[in-house]
Amino acid sequence: MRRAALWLLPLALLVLLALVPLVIEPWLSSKVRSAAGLAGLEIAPETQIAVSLFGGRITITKLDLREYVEGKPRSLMQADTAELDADVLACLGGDIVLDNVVLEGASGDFRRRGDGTIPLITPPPEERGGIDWSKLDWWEYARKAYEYHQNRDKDADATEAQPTSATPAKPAKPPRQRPAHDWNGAHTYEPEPGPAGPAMRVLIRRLSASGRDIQLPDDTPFAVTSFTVKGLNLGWGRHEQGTDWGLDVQTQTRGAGTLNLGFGAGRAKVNALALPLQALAHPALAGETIARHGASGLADVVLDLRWAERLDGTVQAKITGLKLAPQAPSQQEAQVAQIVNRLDGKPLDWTMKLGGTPQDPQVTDNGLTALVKDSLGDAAKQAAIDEGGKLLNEQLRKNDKVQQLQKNEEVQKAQEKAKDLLKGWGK
Amino acid sequence: MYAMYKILRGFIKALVSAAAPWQIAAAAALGTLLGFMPLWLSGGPSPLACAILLVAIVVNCHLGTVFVFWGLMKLLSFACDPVALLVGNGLDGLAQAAAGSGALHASGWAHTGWLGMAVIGLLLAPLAAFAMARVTVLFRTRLRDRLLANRQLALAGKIGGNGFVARAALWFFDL
Repeated sequence: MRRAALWLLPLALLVLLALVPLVIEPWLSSKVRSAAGLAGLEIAPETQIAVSLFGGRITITKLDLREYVEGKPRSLMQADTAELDADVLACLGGDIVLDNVVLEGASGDFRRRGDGTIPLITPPPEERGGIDWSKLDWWEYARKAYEYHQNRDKDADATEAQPTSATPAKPAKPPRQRPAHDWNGAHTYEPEPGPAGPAMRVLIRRLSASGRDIQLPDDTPFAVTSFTVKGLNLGWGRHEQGTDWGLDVQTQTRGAGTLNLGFGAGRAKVNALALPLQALAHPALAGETIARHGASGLADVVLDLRWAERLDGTVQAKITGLKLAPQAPSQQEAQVAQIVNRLDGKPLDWTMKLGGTPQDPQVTDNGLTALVKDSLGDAAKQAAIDEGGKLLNEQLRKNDKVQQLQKNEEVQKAQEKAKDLLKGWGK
Repeated sequence: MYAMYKILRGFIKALVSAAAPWQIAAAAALGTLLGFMPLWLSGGPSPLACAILLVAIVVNCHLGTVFVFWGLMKLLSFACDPVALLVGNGLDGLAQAAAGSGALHASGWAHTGWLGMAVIGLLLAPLAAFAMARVTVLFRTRLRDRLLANRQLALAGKIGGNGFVARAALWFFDL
């Protein structure tokens, strides 16, 4: 070994450290930009990215993440500032692990592209599994997305279990070939991400975001006008065993009131305040399933779902001003609509129980019995009382009129008699 | 230019220095590898090239020779672009396999151009090492004695019209 190495190596290290802010950090900034490029996106040139290697922090101002559609840029996500604290040690292993992500003044645009697919959400073409994602409404989208992620998690678990199991390993996906831009005629291979390739983990341990508007895939009353998001252990790719995750979203919508959403491992909660039922009837949400009932009114809805293999959930709704105007109703639907409409918008407390599986949820108790006994019964009683009252009043009014008429008749008769008596006077 | 001159002087000094032939051979091999491998790619530093540089610093090889061969082979590599491309495209399977290894992918081995270049470097490195070992031995056993004899002759004033050239050569080779 060279004796001079004893001072050469520390000297080289010092030079490297001195180069960090001049070379390494600008290079890391360019890596952040190119990482967006790998996902088929682009960070706008106006966006400023500052990387602090020793602080493990990335600060982005005027964030503008965009994609190119038919050669034209389209902003998908914007934010005034974004601060990301990286777990440097975990990142050295090839993962992307962020301890803290704070977004302020954010806005998003998830409108469908011309082909109906949704940016950042629709899986890449090679992983769409023959499903025409462009024609799915939100409900179907959620179901398909759930299936897609379940299958991916199963694959990931199987891959992690492979070294200890006796089952033969799945054939690795071939790496993707791309032309090398720095060398004419050469090409380069990029490792194929996914369960059979190098399993990269993306994890955000704490997320805090607030912002303005979010354009949802279709133009519905659910378009978000302001929001706050809190998240814990959010990630995809290879996941840590035994860690729970959570995402709480509070939104103010354009035409669907206040909407609070909470998600976690095997749980989901939706809390909507003053939700106009007409908003739920938008065809983009669930096709004609809800729209055909022609429901109107306001609802405070709490949807609470928990699942492992089986789904267990409740829907609690307090509906005021409910009116039904079904399109081409069956006889039963017409009767229900008639009863409901007779309530004249009286408040209803309606609790439904859900079961089945997450892919195929079913209503195990539609709550109609309780509804009839309680709210509907009370409302019906009240409606009957009101109706009775109306009838009574009507009758009383009729009686008054009759009496008045009778009185009038008696007066007329008296007048006529008086006229008879006065006949001949003055002749 | 002056830097090149200094490096060349250092290289020549190596031949006449106390450095063992293996030290010069190892330096030539490492310098050749460094010359044919990129130290920094678009994706960041090349782990393989950095490891070779680290070895060159830690192992007691002749650093001057490392830098001389690094520079010379870098120049040679520019001329080898078409050959490297042919070699790299011929080793397409190796490039695909390298994509599955983080270190090799980061070292540019999944890039057929850089892979070809690295393979040429790997082929040339032992040749350069062997050649330098032989040159060192031959220089020290044959040429050095002659030059020393010439020096003595020059000092004795027995060289007629070539005295200036001989002096310059002796000065250049540090004899």
